[in-house]
Amino acid sequence: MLHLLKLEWLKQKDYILFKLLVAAYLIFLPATLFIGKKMQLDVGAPINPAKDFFVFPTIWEWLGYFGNWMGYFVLGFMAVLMVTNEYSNKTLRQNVIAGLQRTDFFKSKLLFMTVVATVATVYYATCALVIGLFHLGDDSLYFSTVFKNIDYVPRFWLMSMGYMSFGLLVGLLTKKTGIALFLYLAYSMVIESILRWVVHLYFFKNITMSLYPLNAMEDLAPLPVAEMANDLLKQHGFRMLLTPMEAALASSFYIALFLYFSYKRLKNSDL
Amino acid sequence: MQVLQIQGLTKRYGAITAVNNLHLEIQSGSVYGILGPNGSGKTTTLSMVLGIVGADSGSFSWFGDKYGDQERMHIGALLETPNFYPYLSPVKNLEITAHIKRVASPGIDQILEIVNLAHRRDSAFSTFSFGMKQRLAIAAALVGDPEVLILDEPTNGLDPQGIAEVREIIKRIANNGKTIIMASHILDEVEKVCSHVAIIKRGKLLANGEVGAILSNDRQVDISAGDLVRLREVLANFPGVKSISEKDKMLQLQVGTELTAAELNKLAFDNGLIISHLVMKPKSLEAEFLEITAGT
Repeated sequence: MLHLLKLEWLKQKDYILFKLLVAAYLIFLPATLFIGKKMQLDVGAPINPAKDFFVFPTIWEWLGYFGNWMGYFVLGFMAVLMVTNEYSNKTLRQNVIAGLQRTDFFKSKLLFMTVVATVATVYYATCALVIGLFHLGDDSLYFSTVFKNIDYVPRFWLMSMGYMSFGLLVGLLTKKTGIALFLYLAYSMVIESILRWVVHLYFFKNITMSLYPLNAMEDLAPLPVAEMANDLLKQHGFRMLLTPMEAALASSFYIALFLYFSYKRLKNSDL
Repeated sequence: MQVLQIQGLTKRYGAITAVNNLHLEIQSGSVYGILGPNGSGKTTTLSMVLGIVGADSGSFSWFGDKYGDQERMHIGALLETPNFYPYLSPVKNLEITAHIKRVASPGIDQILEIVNLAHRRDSAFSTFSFGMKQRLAIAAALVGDPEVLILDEPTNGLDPQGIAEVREIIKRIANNGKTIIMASHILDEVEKVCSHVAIIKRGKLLANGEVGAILSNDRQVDISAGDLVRLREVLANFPGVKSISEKDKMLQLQVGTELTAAELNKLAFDNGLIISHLVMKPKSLEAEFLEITAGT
């Protein structure tokens, strides 16, 4: 297992775009939070960014939501590049010729993705804890307050795995970096929205419209105010936000599905 | 020992049959040339036996199946184009190859020495000329000292100096007793380097065996004398002369290797004929190749 992980590491460690993506994640994740310091919402909004972004337990939600965007772009792109580069450089073909089993190629990608998702999650948790501890203010500190939203940590990990397995599949299906990135963005931003809001809603006006893959992954760390909007809608008998458990189950299902199709694709295609 | 056995391998791309019911056996220690014009199915055949393209039917086995599905760990191959991570140096690229092949100490510096790339060991692959890329591909094939080397058009796209260098490298490796399978559309190359040859065209095997037997060693003699008719009579019954034709007031003979110019001269002299022109030359391989491939 370590052998395959090291193989991917040898490929990535000197790759400039990989380093840039890592740097972008490490810098932008906490940095976006600090935009809150400059946000003055004096319109009676239910949130106060200058405070809510930084204190327990809401920091878990807000940093999780910003991490959602970072995961979507940085980790997803990383997964796409991880496979499309191997096609455009024809190195996947060369790896196989050199003796690598296709199954092992897949495993090395999956292992690397898992490690990246884990490191990203640990970094998220560390940032939340450290920044939160620096913003305790005058309120007395309760253990239960600090860790109230601790379930965001496994949710964040699952979300990272979700975006990456989607990126992996798109990369393997298209084989070309440009087309893959376009499809990755187009599906998540346009195609899925049309499927949900136009097609699905026409037939079923209920929560099932939120069970689409990218939406389910997004709902693992949603925009915190979305919950309030959801509560409002619920009074009218309609809800659009998945519960964390629903989102986790749906995401796990899609991750398994994406990985399965990725594996099938890799196993059977001519290189 | 049998290195590779191919049985009835077939690959179709739509209406085109790239490889058609191909049977081949390659023995250990041979330098086996797969000769055929462009698009004859050489690369497709090698792609199938290297596991990157699936066959429609037929089968193949490496090393009598003694390595199971790990056979490629014992093969070094250059297929079509040199493929490497462009942002990595030759050393780091070869380290990845060695890592895949699980070779603990691959001796990368010595390998780079063999292919004359030691001076560029640390520059990125993307800065290489095509010739250097091709030589690095040969280097990658050498990692782990594999039992078999597969070289697909190893001199393709190289300048004359590059061709000479690469052929020199191949000869050196062959001299060490390694089994080499080389695909080429250049006869001269196959004849100079290979011990065995298979000729394929449009995916079909036309002939295979030892180079000497397939690309026969017959020689051509241009001979002329004052009385051509008489000369022809005399030569017609002489053993070793396989065929006679007339061209530009000269006779062209196909003769076996045992016949010498002196014998022909003596024969003519004994029959009272004075030879005015006598040239003996190897029969053109191009002609041989065209002869074999023309019939299909």
